[in-house]
Amino acid sequence: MTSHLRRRLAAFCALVTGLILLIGWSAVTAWHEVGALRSRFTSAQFESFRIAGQLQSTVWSLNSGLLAYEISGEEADWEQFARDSHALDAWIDLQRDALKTAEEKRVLAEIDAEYDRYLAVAQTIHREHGDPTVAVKSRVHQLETAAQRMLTLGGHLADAHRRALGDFLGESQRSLRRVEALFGAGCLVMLTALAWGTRVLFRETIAPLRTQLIETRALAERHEKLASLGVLAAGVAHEIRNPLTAIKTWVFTLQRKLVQNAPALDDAAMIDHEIDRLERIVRDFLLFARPGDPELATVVPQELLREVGELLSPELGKSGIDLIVESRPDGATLRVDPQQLKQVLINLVRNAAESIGLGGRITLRSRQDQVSLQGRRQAVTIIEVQDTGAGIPAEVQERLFDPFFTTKPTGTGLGLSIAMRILERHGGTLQFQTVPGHGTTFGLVLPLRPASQTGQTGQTTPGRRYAPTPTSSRGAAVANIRRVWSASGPL
Amino acid sequence: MCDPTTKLLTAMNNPASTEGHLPPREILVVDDDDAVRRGLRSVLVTEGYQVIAVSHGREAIRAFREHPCDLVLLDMNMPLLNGWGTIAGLRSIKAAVPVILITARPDQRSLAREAGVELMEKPLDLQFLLRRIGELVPRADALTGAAIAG
Repeated sequence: MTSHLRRRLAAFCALVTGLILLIGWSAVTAWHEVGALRSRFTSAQFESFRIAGQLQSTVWSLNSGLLAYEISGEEADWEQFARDSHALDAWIDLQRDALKTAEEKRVLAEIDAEYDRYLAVAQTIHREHGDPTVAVKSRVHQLETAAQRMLTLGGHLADAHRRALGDFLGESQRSLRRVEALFGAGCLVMLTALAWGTRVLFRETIAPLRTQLIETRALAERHEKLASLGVLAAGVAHEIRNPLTAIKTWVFTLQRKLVQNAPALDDAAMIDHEIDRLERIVRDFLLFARPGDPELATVVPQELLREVGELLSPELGKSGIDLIVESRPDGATLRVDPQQLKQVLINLVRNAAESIGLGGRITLRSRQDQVSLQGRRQAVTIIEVQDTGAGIPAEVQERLFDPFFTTKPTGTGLGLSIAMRILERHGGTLQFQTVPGHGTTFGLVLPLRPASQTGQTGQTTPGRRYAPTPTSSRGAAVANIRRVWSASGPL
Repeated sequence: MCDPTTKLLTAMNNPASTEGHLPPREILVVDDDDAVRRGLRSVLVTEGYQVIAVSHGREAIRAFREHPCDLVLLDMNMPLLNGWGTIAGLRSIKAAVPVILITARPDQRSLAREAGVELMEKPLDLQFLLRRIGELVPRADALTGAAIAG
């Protein structure tokens, strides 16, 4: 697992954990707050019972004070009565501000009026105290009636207050239930959002990494196979090249001994030719199985293309093919092995020329782009070889990069496989786009930072979608190189 | 003269030995592959060289000590002593001896370049090989021609 993958996984886990913790904290806090509110509302219900009790005890206290004064006739008892009456005044004033509903205020006003009558009777009693002509029984009866009415009204006030509180609490309970429902829905939405976000994050972050990991593993396995194949190839090459050398020396000696124009000379030349063919197969196979490590140098792509153009133009000119090197000086440089790159370009240009036959055009150009390479988007230079040839038939596209697959009578079928391997060793890839009947464009995709500098030599994710320089409006049949790559995997 | 007991010195059909004032050039061929060794000897003899052909490095050093040849054509991969060890042994006897390494393996080129030794891969381009040998050890007829021209 790469450090890049580990970092992204850690970030993903941290994000998901953070979201879960946030939702959990919000849920616990909100639930706690709602519970506390409910408790406060429940305790408020008991306040209504205290209103009636307070009024009752105050009235009884007044009655007791007045009775004591009536019996003793002492001023101190009357003063006690006066203090208690002030306390009741204060209580009524307090309730006037505290009570909210119209019914409560109406009942409180009735209590206040009754209290005034009560006080008037009390004042009369005080004034007529000691007067034998006054019927005390009548005054006491008036007082009790007023007090009783006040107590009854106190009960009504308590009922009104309870009803008001009940309405308020009922409304509050309904609001609380709504808040709870909203909270539940919010949690559900957040959980859904979390699930969705997790899914998106997984799809955008983890799944590509997993794909990259699988691709990297496949590539590693492929490189392992190729490394084994390289060892095997070197051994086989050794065993084949020695007898080839021996045959070659004996044919050489034979040719020296034969007289000029002897028919056997032609036979000897044929043997020589076949030896060369065998050697070409061995050499190409070795190049494919174990291409040399790139000897990196700083190269200007335009220079490379110009050299290839100068080298091949005369040869192509004989077939009426124009080799055009488009000049796009963009100051870009590459760290590549110029000889290996030149080998790839020569191979591709010769393939293009064979595809054209007689009369046509091959264009070489380089450009900058951002593409997905090695599992991530990065800046690359793409060197293109575009021809006006016959294009590549669909059935050939499938096997284009298969080792030993060729459509030529004399080819070894390793040219493109070798080219791919060389690009791979540079941390790049080889891609193509072809339209049968119109031509083909091959693109050498090279990272601006070579793989050897990133410690990932050969760990290239083979080409994805290739978008060559737009030159016409004709349709594009984009080849999926990954498929071709996979096809060449089990070596 | 190289070791006569090995009967490997061959000087057949050698017109160069009868021309000019210098003796024919002698080349030591070292290769463990019998067919290659015999084939190379045949080619070189046909071209007028005297050839000593041996099959491994130790034998090559022994033969070279007894008779330092003008050039060594040396196979890289041999049992007992490989090409590098053999070169060291040969140069301890004659430091300036020209050596052409020949190899059937594909991974020796950079090593040879670093060591400053000429390397050719099998199967050899025989025309090129003969031209290089001619450049490294000019033959008597070539020297004579050069002297006349000079």
